[in-house]
Amino acid sequence: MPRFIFPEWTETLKRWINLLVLGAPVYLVALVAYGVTPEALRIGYQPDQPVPYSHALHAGELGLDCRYCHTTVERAAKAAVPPAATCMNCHSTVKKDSDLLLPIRQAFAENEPVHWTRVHDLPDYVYFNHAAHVNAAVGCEACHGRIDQMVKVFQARPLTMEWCLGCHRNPAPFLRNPENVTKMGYQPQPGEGEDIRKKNAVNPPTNCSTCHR
Amino acid sequence: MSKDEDLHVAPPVLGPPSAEHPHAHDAGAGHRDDDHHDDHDDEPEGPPLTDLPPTPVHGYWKSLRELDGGAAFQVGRTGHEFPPEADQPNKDPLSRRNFFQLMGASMALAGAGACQRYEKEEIVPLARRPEDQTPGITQQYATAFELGGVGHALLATSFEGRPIKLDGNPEHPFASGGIVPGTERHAGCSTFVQAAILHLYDPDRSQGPTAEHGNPSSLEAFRAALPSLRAGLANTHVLAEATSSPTVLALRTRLLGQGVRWHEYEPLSWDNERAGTRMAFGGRAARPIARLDRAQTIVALDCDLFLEHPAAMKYNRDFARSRRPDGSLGIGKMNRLWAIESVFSNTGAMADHRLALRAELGLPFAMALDARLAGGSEPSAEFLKEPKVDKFLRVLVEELKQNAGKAVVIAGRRQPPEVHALVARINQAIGAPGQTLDYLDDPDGDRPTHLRAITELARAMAAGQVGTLIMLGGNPVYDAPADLDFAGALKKVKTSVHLHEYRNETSLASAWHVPRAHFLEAWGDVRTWDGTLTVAQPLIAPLYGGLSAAELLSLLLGEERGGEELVRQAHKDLGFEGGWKQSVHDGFVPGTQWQAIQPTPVAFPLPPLSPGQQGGSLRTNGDLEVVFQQSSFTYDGRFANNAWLWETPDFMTKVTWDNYALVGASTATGLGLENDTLIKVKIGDREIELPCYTIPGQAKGSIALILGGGRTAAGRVGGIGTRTVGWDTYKVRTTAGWHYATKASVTPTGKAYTLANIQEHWDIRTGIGGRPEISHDGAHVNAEGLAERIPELIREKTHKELVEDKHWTAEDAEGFFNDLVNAGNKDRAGHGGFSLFKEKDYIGHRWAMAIDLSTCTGCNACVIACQAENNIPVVGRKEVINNREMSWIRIDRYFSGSVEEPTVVHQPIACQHCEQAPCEQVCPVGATTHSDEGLNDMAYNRCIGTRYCANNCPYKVRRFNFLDWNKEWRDARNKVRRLLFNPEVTVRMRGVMEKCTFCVQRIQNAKIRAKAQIRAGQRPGTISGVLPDGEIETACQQACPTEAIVFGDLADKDSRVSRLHDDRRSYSLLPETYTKPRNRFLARIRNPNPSLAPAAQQGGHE
Repeated sequence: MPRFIFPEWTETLKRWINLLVLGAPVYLVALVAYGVTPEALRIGYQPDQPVPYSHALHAGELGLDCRYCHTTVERAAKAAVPPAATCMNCHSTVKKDSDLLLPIRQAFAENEPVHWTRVHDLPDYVYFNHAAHVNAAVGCEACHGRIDQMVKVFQARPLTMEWCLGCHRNPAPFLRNPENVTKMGYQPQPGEGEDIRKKNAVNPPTNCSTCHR
Repeated sequence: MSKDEDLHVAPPVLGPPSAEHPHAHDAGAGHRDDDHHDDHDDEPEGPPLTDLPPTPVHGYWKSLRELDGGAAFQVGRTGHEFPPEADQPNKDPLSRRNFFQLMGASMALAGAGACQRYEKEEIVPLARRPEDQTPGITQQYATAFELGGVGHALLATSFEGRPIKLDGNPEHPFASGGIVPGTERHAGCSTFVQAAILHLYDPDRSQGPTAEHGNPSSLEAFRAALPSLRAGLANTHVLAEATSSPTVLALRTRLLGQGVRWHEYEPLSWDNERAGTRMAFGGRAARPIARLDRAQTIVALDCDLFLEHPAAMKYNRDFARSRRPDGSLGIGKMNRLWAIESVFSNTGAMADHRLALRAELGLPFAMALDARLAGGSEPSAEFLKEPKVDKFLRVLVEELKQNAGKAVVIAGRRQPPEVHALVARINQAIGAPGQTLDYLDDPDGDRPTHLRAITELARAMAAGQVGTLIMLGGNPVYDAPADLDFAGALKKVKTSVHLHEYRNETSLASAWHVPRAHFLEAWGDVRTWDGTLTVAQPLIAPLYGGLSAAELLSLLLGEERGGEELVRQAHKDLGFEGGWKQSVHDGFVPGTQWQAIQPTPVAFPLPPLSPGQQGGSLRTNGDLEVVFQQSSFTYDGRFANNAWLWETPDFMTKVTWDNYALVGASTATGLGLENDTLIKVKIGDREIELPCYTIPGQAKGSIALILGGGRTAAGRVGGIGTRTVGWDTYKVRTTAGWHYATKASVTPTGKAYTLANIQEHWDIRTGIGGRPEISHDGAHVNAEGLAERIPELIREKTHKELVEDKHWTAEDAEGFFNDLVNAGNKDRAGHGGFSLFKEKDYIGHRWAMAIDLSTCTGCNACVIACQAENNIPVVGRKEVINNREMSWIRIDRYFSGSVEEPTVVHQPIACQHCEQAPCEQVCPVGATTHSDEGLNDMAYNRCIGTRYCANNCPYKVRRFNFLDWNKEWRDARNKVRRLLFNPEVTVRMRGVMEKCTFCVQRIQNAKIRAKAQIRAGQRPGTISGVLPDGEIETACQQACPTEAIVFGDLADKDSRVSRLHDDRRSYSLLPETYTKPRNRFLARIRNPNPSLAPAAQQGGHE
């Protein structure tokens, strides 16, 4: 019986198949491992909101300062989401009949809150304080990304402990002149961060109790 | 008196019992000398007493069991941090339900791991944010709280509209005042104040009216029934809790005009003081308020100044002022406290001299004082001739004469009016009024006493003369004197209405029950004990509907007026309309205290002494005295559904979750009563079975029954139906023996009953490893061993020695860690040492604490303040027995001296924040680490629960979450209770270690606030500089009424804590371990009269 002779190229194929069989688990593990990292899971989280509020329009195009709505950011831990009353400052005259704004008008009329969905959600055992960071002249952009370009807000940074510590260990690159804290797309001058760090005595602690209590 | 000379050798007052001196307070027939005659020999019972062993000189011990080697840590748990099986989920066999619960939990956890986003969270901003509100920032509001007719000014902390913490109002003239310059705005508070907020969120609170004995109804239905109630006003009686509220009193006046009769009842009443002053001042009732900060000599006659007295917070503060060496009395001076009492109170624990005397003997004792100071006639009472009492009395009289104008005598609630009248006369004789004592005009001097009021009402009810009974709060079915049969009488009342926060025993027996609004839900006003008008504003709308007492009365008057309007009207009528807004803001109207008066004493008759009062201090069974004692857990029973209070160990017994009979050590020995067994106490024909707790220092022949247990309709915490907590001691409290009863007998039942006692938990055992004489070989730690180990933990000195020996320091005693290599420790120059571990360099703040043992009264306010601030769970009675209690602060209570007459010292212990922390070295995952500011940080989310840290902590301050204590609060049915959590502190899960953090949330927030303000130019200072001393107060410090706890920054050399750390009284615990704690204690200074040898050194004589 004549022996069936495989063509020579199957030798190469065999090597590739071996490699594939051996490599597949490694690949899968790596894939899953990457898949569950905060970078993969959390960056880009973009939940629907009850009102399609566009930061790109308000903060970007119209150039509203962040603090027009997030009034408490300089003195409180929370950068409070504004009450419906703040929206109505303008929208009682601008686009006052828009269907999209119905939930806002309803909330204002009935004195019932709007239920927004949290985008930047830290674990409950983390105590982040906006006032501490804003007053130390960390730009909003450092954690929130280019909000002024987001029609619908998504999470732009991993917000992991490692990521936090990166800045706490070396804050200078993220500092800027205090008047530019809310400016989006701002390019600090070379050495500006380091100057501010020295001037403002910014020495972020890296103790556990800095954030965990 | 001729025995003086040998008394100096072995003073009977504070020394151990000795053969030559008949023992003054032996109970039972045992230790009797022939020259002693007891008047009641008809019922001699029990075996002869034997003397209890004296403890060695300067010996400290925690319990009687410890002395005889029977304590749990000595036999059961040799050398173990936790009792065997403490890590098992449940000691009971797993029930099916439990099994599925546990399984369910672990399945859920397994699934919750990776691959999931965090659950969707919502942000719900108010549609219109009030102008002054910043989300995430707490606000403080002044308000007030009333307990037993006494107002307490409060400052409530509110987080986004929900109150989360109560503290004293630091602006209030009566509630506030620092003990040292620079802390003028410090208002401590009591455990009850701290815990009162828990009731606001209690899911067991009444959530709607009931009609016809328990059938659910509605407020509308009640309103519909109002016209018929109003029609019968002429035959209506009101039974009210004592109240000082001008609003309620104004409404009362109007109702009285319509023929309503008004009765006021409190089970724990200070009426005797009022009656006594009326007697002494010819019919004019006055309210004595002592000024302890000016008093050199303070005599408490059966009076607990620091816990029970209506002015307790002021007394704590003033006492601490004159108690501190170099305090308010001047350099080198310090007050001296004398206590004569039956129950060992924390006043007795603070006292320099304490005489344990049956409550009944208060009258002859006061008469003897009166005879020698104010010219009364000497009583003929046998016990006064006993050498110990005689000597005590003579020295006391001598001192009072010497310190005339600088001394004050205060009598307690239990003592009859005659004693209070005598005390008024004695105070007059020693020149107290105007100096150390103020008399204020009593606002309601003509009202019948509480006891008389309830008696008259119950009689009228039983006779069918009461058409309608309106009860404003209170729980008379449970706490009225047993012989009145209030429940039976209530059945004869046609219509009864009961207003209360809870649907309690009385509500169930009433026709109508109407829920009352919690004091944080309603407008109100109160007067503090000095009369200062104090406004109570609500912080939250009623969670379950509910009316305040004033609103209900207003409805009865046919009006429909809200609480604010009523309170405002009352203010207007008093003439304070103008400053209304300011009054609400401040919480009080300045200058409204009762007018000070100078009453003139008149002669008054004294009753003849009863045979018991004439006799000696020996008693036989059947002729014992029973005193009724306020509960440190539930007050009179009203806080029965408060788990925080139940789980806070009593300051003296260290028992939790129970009430019991306190029996003196020799009484117990003589009558065969054992700790942790049930005994039967019989008074007349009423008897009760309850656990026995033998305590050193209880007066012989006197048994104390703690009130406030055994509730049958308190709620899921405090007892429903047959599942009760504690024992209903009101069953044996009658009108005849309301404060104390005589002719009681006690029999052991032999039934074992385990009290949830924590006194042997978390024991610091020093040096046990290295010293054979102390090491416990499984048998027991002997008394010598105990005596040796504890003096290092507790340091005491007499004031005389302190003044004379200028070079004494608490820490240079021999055997302590000495400077081996002067390395590292920069805090205390020359106190460096050699460590295996790297010394840490500290930058910036160096947080530290100092606790003054001289002024710590062990009142527990710090414990509950910590619980409220730090979301500490409660674990329940069974788990306390399992050694799983979670409280971050434990107050160690040590006895010293003889078993019969011990002295006591309290030592609050929380995390010591060691600079070389042993816990940190053994954590395998770095969950506990050291911060740059010297805090021993605990990262809960990193902890994997090995418990190595707790094992390695020499101070035993770490607490482990053996079970998921907070599980039930995650239950949707308990969503209201969750509102109480402090949002600044993580709520811990099962399997996580926790401990004191020095309130790191307060530190961080204060730092962030300060930096933000400095950067914004709103306050001076530098970013890296120190904060003003006192800007950060820990929760325990804020609550401490005597400012015994001081927290601050060692980097600030002028801070109070720095100065206290440098004080020569300061010492750290276990210095030989070289942990370098950031917490230091200040040695306890006692101030005994030189004529009576100091207690501590007399303990081990013989």
